[in-house]
Amino acid sequence: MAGLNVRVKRDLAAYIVQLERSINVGDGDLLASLLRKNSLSKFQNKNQVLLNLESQIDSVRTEVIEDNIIGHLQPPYDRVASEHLKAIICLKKSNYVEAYVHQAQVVTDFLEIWKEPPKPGDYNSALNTVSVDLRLIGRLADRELNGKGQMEDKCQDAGRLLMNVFSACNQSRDESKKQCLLSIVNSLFKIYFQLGTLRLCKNLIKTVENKGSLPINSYTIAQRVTYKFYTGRLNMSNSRFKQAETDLDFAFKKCTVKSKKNKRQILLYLIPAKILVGKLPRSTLLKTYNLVQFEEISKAVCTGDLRSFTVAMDAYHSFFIRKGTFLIMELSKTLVYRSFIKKITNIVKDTKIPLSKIKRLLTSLGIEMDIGEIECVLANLIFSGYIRGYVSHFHSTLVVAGSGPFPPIINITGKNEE
Amino acid sequence: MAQYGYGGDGTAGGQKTWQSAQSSQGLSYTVSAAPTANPAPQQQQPNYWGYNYGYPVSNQYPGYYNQGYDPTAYSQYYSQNYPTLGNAYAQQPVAAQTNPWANNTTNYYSAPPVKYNQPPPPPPSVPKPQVTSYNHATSYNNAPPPSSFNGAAPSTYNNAPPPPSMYNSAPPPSSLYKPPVQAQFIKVNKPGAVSMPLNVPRKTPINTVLTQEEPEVVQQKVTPDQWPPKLKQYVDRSFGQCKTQGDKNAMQAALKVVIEESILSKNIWARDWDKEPLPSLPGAPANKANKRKSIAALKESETRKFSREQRFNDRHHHSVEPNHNDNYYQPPAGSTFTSKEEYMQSSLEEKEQDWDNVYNVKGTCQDLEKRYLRLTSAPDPATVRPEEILKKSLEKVLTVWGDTKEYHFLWEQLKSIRQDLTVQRIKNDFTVRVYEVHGRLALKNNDIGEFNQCQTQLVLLYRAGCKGNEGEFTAYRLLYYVQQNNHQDMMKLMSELSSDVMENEAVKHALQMREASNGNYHKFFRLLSATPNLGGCLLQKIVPDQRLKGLRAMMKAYRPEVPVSFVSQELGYSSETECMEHLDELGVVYSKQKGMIDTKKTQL
Repeated sequence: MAGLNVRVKRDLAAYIVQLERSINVGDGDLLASLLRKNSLSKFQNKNQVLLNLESQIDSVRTEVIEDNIIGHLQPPYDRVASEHLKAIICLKKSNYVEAYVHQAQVVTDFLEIWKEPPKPGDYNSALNTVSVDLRLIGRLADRELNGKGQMEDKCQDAGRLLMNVFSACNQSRDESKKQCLLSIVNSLFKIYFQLGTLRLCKNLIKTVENKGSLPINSYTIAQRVTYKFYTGRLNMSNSRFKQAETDLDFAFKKCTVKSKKNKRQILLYLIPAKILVGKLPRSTLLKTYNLVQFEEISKAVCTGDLRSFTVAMDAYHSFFIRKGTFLIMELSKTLVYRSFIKKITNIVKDTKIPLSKIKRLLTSLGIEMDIGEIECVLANLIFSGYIRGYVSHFHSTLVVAGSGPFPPIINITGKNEE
Repeated sequence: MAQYGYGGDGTAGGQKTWQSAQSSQGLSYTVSAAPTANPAPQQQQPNYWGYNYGYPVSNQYPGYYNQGYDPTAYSQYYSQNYPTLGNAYAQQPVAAQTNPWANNTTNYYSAPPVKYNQPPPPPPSVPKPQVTSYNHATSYNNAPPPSSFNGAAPSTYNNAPPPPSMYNSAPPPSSLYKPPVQAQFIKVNKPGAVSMPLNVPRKTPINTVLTQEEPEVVQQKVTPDQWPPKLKQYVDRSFGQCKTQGDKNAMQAALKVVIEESILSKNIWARDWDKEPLPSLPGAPANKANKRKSIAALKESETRKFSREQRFNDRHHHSVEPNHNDNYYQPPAGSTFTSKEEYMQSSLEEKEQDWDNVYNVKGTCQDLEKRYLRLTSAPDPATVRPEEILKKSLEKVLTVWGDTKEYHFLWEQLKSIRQDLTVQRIKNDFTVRVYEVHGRLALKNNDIGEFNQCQTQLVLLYRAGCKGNEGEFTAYRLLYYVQQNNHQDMMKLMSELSSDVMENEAVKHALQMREASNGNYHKFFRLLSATPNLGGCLLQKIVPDQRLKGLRAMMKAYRPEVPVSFVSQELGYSSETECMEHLDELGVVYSKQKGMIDTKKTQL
């Protein structure tokens, strides 16, 4: 082994030995642990051999690595290993763009191996590892490009490469190979959500829910939770709130309590969906997960307090915008109006409510609305179905139905969803 | 002719039609200046585009390019209007059926969407060719021999071969694209009509006119099943290149040109359609890419960029006008908003000059008027104008030409000013001014694609610190996202708004408009009439949708009836009559009482 000092030589030799063993035995998990980027991963069981190598390797130049591996390892794997190590070196030097290039090569080469492994074995976890690393390095590379003022295209490239992996996975005849489909789909979701190209997700969902694919129960629960989380978010952005609520509910319930951060992440989208369906969060839940922003809003929806709703929305405006749920929270304003009108009907105890009374009450709350705007709000409520009744323009009154003027929200939201 | 915002011809008379056309839009706005040669005193300064005009009549931009063009689905080429050859060609692929106005050689009277500016052909004075076979008894599609013709024919009728300049050559390049000359249409109204102007060659000889049932002057058809199969494959390949409806229309036009030309030069069978280069799409990569193989050979990044651009084409389906003149610059399809696309846009613009980062051009040209041509290599300093000249050119655009020239000319001038600025890397307040002027001009002419480009550049310039009307254009940006229903980018923009931009009245209005566009028709139409600057141009597109939504809600909510005046007022119509027109179109049922809509019976 030329050009390396003694320690690196020793560690590299040990690494190669481990790789050879995993290849000859067909040990997919060992291979996965050897092909991981430990600096990016939060896995508990990191491969000690690789760790040793990583600690020594940043002194080595990338070209030297290649010379020392190619020829010392079986042909399809040597390129994979050399590119993998090169990527590690670049990561250590924070050279993310270059690391990405190497990692892309790893993925491409490993995909070929995965399709036709020399020795049979379960290489799904290894494929998953390299794909996840590709995505993470892609994100870092984009950040670096952004800092330099250049175009950020590495994430997109990662998406494209993973689509190759996805189609290879989808088209493989081997049932066991299809097991990693959902994890690839989840990686792709993450990329697309970050890039904002949500329409590309539709294709993935179609494939997964296709009757010919594996049933969804055959995947691990972790993957299913992630999958439901993203499909829930997708439904939210397509205004299918009822479906979104179901998906996100599943994700939240099945997500382990250990990963509090993930649970909070799910809640950020679950709570708006539930509010729109009419189920308000308990304050204990909000406290546990540190989501006080929803506290006042859910109270306002419950009591019909327009003023505190507007105050709360203004206060947490930037928070909601950052999370992307601002527009959905605005939709809950209709529910606030509904509760407000409901309260008035309870006070007035009559099915006929003059609009002037509504106007006066609003003014007393400090909100100025003219009759035309009130009529507009009422028209929208009646049209959506939240209020059963009608407005008489001539008499300037709202007339609500005698029985069941305010049907439960859960029956109404999502009535028009296809 | 399309004028920027004026329904007429830009004169005082046009002013009237513009106003009336605008009032028919049903919205009130202030017209602060008559854009005639004598502007009102307070508007004599050149910031012409900042006037509170409201928005233009929905004119066709550029109107005359669309004239005569029929952008229906490409299956139109299966329709009757397609140039046809007739059975004679199926039998004699190469034989010279040289009678130019015999039934099957020319579609001179037919109405292809692509119009040539050809004068009627002069009477050819060449000897008659030998026509050996013809089927006189069969349909008029075959060429009759001259001997069956019995007298009284116009002197121009004979079996002369077509004059080489006219029929054998390709139609003139599309740079001479002009509106059709009406005289080319000569309708034969009755069978057997003989009276035709003598200077125009007859399409059908007299006897066949007499014998046939329907002398459709126009219809000389080669149905597509008479085409050689290779031609069909060629057509399929061409359409396979298209990704959007606009592309398909452009491709159809281009194909018609090619096929007609081959018919006229009579080598529709002789040509090797497998090897023919596919017609290039406007906005497509360089002509080399026409060959099917070359598309694959394009660097992956270029194809991805191109398909990315085309994706935005789909998304914003209005950007590239398919009829743009080939010599003129095609804006990159579907411009960009998010930061990624901003970079792409700026890198696209810079890519034109990216061969040498250090190279800096100092212009020396002194022309005030300059054509726009897309740069493919380092510009010659003699053709690039320095900043002072560009300033003068801009002034001229605003003052002198603004009144008299049509949009495309102004667009081209501004585009070349922008190019000169980019080449010389001038990024200052003047650059901002140029982009703002162009953006406003594009808005008034409904050129949303161009507006988008300018607006993206402006974002980068503002970020770099240049001064300009940031508030006005941020408002436009917000309204653009509202119009596009683009939640993601809107959220992003809202999160990036700085506090001083939020103080701007236009931005405040735009934010309120965003909120109101979610079903609050009352607020929407109140705010619409108070839209500052040119925001109305953007909002105009969603007005019909908002009206329909509002109307639906009203029909569901109000019982038993609601007055038309109220509906008209709430939905922002300028007059009740206009409101009633729309309501009638939608099928609204009126009640017995006068001026009331029966809400229960109306089904929308």
